[in-house]
Amino acid sequence: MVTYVFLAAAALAIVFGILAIAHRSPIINVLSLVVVFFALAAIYAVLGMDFLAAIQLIVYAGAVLVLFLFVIMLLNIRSVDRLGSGRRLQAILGALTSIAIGAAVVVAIATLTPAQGAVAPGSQGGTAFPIGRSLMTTHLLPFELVSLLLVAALVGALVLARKETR
Amino acid sequence: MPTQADLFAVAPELILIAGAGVLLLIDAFAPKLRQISSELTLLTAAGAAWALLALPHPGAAWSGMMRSDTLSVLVSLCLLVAVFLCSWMAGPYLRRANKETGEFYALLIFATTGAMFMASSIDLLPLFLGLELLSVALYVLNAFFKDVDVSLEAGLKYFIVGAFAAAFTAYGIALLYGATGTTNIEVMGRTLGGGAAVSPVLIAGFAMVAGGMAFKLALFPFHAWAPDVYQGSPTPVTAFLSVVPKAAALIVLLRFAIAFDLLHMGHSWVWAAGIVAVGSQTLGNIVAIVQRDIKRMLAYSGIAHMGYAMVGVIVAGTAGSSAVLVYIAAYTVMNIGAFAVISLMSENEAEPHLITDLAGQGWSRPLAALALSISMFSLAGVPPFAGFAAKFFIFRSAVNQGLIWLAVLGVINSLISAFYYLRVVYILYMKPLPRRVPDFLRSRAIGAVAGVSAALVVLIGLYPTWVFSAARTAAKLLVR
Repeated sequence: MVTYVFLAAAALAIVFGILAIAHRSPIINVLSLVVVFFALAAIYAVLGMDFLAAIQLIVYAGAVLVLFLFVIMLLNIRSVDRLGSGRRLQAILGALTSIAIGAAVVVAIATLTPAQGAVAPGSQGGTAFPIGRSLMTTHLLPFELVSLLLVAALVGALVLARKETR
Repeated sequence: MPTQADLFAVAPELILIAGAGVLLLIDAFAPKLRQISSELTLLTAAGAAWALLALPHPGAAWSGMMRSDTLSVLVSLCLLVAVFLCSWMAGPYLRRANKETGEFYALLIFATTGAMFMASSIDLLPLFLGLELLSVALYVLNAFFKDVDVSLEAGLKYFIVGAFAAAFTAYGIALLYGATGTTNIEVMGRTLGGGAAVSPVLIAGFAMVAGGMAFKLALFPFHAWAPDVYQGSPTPVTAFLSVVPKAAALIVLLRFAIAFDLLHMGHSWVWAAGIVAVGSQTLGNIVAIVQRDIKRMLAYSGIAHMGYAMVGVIVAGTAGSSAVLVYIAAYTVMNIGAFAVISLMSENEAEPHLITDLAGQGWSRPLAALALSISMFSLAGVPPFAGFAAKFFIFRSAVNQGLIWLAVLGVINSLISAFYYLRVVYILYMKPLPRRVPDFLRSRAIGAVAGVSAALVVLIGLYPTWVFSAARTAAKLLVR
């Protein structure tokens, strides 16, 4: 059962992931991305990470995607150039390189035996409690660094977006 | 709860963050004080340097995620010197364009903080966050002159390529975690030392992280962004960008090289990294010859210089690591010195900084021209300047390790590079002033930055053993 759910979710994620970058209409790109995010949430749930799955839905499928949609609708972008419509040689080389990297990663992952100590499916209970606990103990430094990063991004966005009044 | 040791370990960073906060608040609530932003930044950097040198260094901190020791002190000191000099020269530069705001300095400080976290983290999680903090602040700083097209172009290019590289780095970190079960570089190294087979996932993960770092270093073939970004960014930002991310990324690569013992892991790493190193040197030096804009020329020169530094990363061990540390120190001062003079010798931000515009400046502005000449000689690797000592330690470590081909190709490349560096000196002194005397910026502060950098270049060049012995102590901690 678990395997089938995973396979279905993974297939959905791949198909709609391709659609998200390949379709001409930006609206369809973004809506395909929603499907990808839902599929990823399903995979997290299958792995026993209930909390992560919920966060994925709320933050990405909910907030981030709505923002994308707003921006696209406000800017009224109807269509974008098709994939690979730039220089031909560049497109061919790019495609070859991506295929090579993709193949290398697939081969690498196919031969992987997960390391001891890596988080096993469901081992953390999948609830907010162990995640919150680790954020406040062992992972306190990265947690605080994220807040600093967000401040820097906020200040940066204001600097770029503000009208010059002086 | 963080312990006292944890807090000591990040004391310099905390001072920087507090300084950035004050700068932002002043900008918002007391705009009249805005004109002392530059001085406040200098004060913040000096305070952080004091904390770095005066407070105890607890070693491992934050559950083993960071390491505060001689190594982190040495690198952080270079980064603080860089931000000190860059914000010093930024004051008059921004004032001319009427763009002096607290945000500029706050972002500069944030970027430095990110680089310091990157250089002192041994865990990939804070390391990646440091990288992002550094990058996000730099994207904005590149495009800080919003009304200048080339500045916007620089910001956008660096952002798009940088985001791509960051995605690769993150994916690589995920693969490394999958292969080893940890995000701690030293623990990863120990699992490998314990006889665990090197899996393809591990190689793929490391290749992606190394690619992300190579992007920050602008190594061949990850260099394409460098010329446009160097040229378009405001010159003080270019100076900062040309040294700070590079120092941090070099330390990250060194940590991997030593923890994984890459030199002895197989020949593929030596070949791959060797091709990247020699490719960067050759491409950087040859393309630099045909550049007409001095900022673009220095971009290609930077590509070549990181190629030399990569030789030290390949050698690794105590010798290679200490050589890289000396290189970071020397490169920081000579590059910032060069950019300080370039920011003096420009009429406005939108114009290209042509090398031929420097004609005759050797006689009309002797001190600035002398500082630029010292930087150029040092970048070319002419004794007795810092650049020579740095290259010497790098090539000596390669020869001692039996990697003679790397040393020979490096020396040949450095001979090629002398041509375009010395041409700048030639134009400064041997060409007459143009009929329309250019209206260059006059600023004592920027002159002082150039002077301090030139003095440090000469000092490191004359007494390289001071820096080298400190670097050796630090390198021993890294190798252990």
